[in-house]
Amino acid sequence: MVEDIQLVQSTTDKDYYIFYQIYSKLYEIGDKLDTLILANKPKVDDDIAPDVMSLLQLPENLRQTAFALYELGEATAEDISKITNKRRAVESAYLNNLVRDGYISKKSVGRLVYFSIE
Amino acid sequence: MKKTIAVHSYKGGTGKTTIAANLAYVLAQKGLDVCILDLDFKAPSLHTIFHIPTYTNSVKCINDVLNNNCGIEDVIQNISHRFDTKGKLYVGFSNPQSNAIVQMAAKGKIWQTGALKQLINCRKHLYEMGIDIIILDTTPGVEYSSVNAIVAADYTLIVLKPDETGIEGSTEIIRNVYCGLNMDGGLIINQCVEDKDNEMDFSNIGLPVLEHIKCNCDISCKNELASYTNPDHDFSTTIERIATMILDSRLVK
Repeated sequence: MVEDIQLVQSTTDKDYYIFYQIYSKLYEIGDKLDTLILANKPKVDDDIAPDVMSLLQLPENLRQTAFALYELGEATAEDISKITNKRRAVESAYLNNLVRDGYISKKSVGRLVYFSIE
Repeated sequence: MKKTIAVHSYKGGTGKTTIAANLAYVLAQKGLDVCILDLDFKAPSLHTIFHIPTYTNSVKCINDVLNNNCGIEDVIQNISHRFDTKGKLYVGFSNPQSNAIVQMAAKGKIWQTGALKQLINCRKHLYEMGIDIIILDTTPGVEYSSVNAIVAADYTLIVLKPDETGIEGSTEIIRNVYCGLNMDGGLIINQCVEDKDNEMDFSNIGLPVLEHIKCNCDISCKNELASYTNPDHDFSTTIERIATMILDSRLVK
């Protein structure tokens, strides 16, 4: 960004002032976005873990999904559906439910979404 | 044929470890490669049945595997030569030292989550090493280590005494743990004193009765591998029948 500012300094003082104002505003917006993202990040209860005792208290459908994920380590909704014999869309919903509740995590690799026990 | 069998009970002192150890020996004697792991971290005792000397700090235990300090291959010992088994017989012990027992008792949820993952990895690794049957001797009751073992197993043998505590406790854990985990299992009624014990009603416990075993003070007091030292004993022939059930896939499909 310093280089950019040096570049615009070769223009007129008025242009430089306008560019500098835009730069400052963008920086400010970026800062506010970071604050908003952090504030809206789902809060995971420290007491929540995908341990067997906690999973035993989950509804049967979610429990089956979680144990299938234990078997596979890391898996897509389709991988899980092959074990549980349920539809991929159903497993996708269950897995996302487990992610929201903080039991498992997910990451995107290209178009595929992988779920794993943390 | 690859199978993992957990041996569990509601209460301690039911003969779980004795049955697990003898079953491992009999299966190895039938030519299978067997590995028995002591997952009773609260009161390890498997090493005493096999008469393996107690540990020094340099010996790796299953505790170290679950703590991510080593692999399962660093822990298991091949003891086939001691018992002249046709197949290989491996044992993996948990640490019987009091500081290790205290450490394991203090582990939290996050650690237990990792421990289950490790246990499932161990099973996979042992199968890759050529092991046919893995036997998991568990902690009694509803403890993390026992439920983790039940989850990692294909089938669980529940050992109970023919008394009110055994029946009520087993019924409760089957209803609330086994059914919740959708796990399969069968009951071994051990330490039956009289014939009337065989006639007690076990039908409401929730799992089928596989065998009744008479109370054998000579076996429990000697703390030895009866199937090896005394293969014609009633106890040994019952273990033989359970092993045959496992081999015939009557228990674990």
